[in-house]
Amino acid sequence: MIKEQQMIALRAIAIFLLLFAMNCVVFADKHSQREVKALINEVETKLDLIRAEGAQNYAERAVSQIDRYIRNAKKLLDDGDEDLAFYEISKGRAYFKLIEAKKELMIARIKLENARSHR
Amino acid sequence: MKKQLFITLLISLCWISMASASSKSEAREEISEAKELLNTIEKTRKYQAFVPYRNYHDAKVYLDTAIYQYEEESEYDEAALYAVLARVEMETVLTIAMTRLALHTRLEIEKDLYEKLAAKSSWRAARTIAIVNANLLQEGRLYRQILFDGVVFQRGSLTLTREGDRTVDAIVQVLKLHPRSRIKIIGHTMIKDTNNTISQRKAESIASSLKRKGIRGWRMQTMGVGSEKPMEINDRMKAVDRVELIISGIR
Repeated sequence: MIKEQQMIALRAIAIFLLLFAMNCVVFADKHSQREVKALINEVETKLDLIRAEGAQNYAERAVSQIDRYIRNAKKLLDDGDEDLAFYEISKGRAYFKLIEAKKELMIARIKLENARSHR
Repeated sequence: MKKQLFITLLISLCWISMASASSKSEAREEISEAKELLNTIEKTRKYQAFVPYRNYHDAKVYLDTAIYQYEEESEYDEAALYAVLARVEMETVLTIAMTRLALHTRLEIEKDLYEKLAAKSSWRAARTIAIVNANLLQEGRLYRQILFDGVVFQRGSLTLTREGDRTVDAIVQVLKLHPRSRIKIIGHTMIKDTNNTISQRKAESIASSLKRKGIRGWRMQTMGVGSEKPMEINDRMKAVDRVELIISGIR
């Protein structure tokens, strides 16, 4: 009886190990935790800088999106999912170019209004 | 034991499928938003000339990759990543196009403004040149010119000489460039002029010549003063045959 139970337990462990091994093969980590952490820090620093410049005034949504992706990436990293964390922080990083473009648009519109008022 | 194993496996599968479903729906939404933005960029005519094509190309590559990962590979995490990249890049393309359009509009306005300023300044220059060409001397707010009979009238008549005609042309030019100005034409004689008849006729001769060249009568005033107002020549006052022109209203 005991042997039978031991056998079942061993089978369960074997299935778990098999599943784990498959998981490791299918979702093999491409990014190290250190690498993703460095990326998150970089994005956080950059976000602080543009926030100090007043980016929230012209790109509020983009700023909050970066915030969201930083939070997601940190959580995923804590859960040990480096790849998904890398994906999340990469999404956040993409917004910086958009914020820069929005800043240029704001300046261009102010200059246009000035030119119109002198007409 | 078997039951426990089954439940563990079921929970694991549920967790994996839930995570996958969340990525799938994110990818689907982002792909749809990116497609909408792409449509806006391609359909809005006013942005066509201002689209940054390198960014546009990158955005399209991201979008195609996202669609491929979603539809062909069923890799929803990667599809979601590329879909977000595509959507953000599309938004950037649109923002850059809008910026370029605003800059272009501003340049058009400024060009128009500078052209108007240039026209205004060249018009001012033309007005000054006309005054110089007409040999007008400024005395306060008035501009004065003296035409001697011997120079402007043919001998024994009140017909203008060629030089006189040229002088009248220059005066006409000044009057035309200063539409609010008025001219006073005063005839003088060397000898005594009964009832100022001769001096008046000299002034009227110049006035009619101006009229023929397009200056309206209400802008002109003629008068003859005979020999009553001599002029200073070589420190001595002397009555001289002449016509004096005084223009007012030049600003």
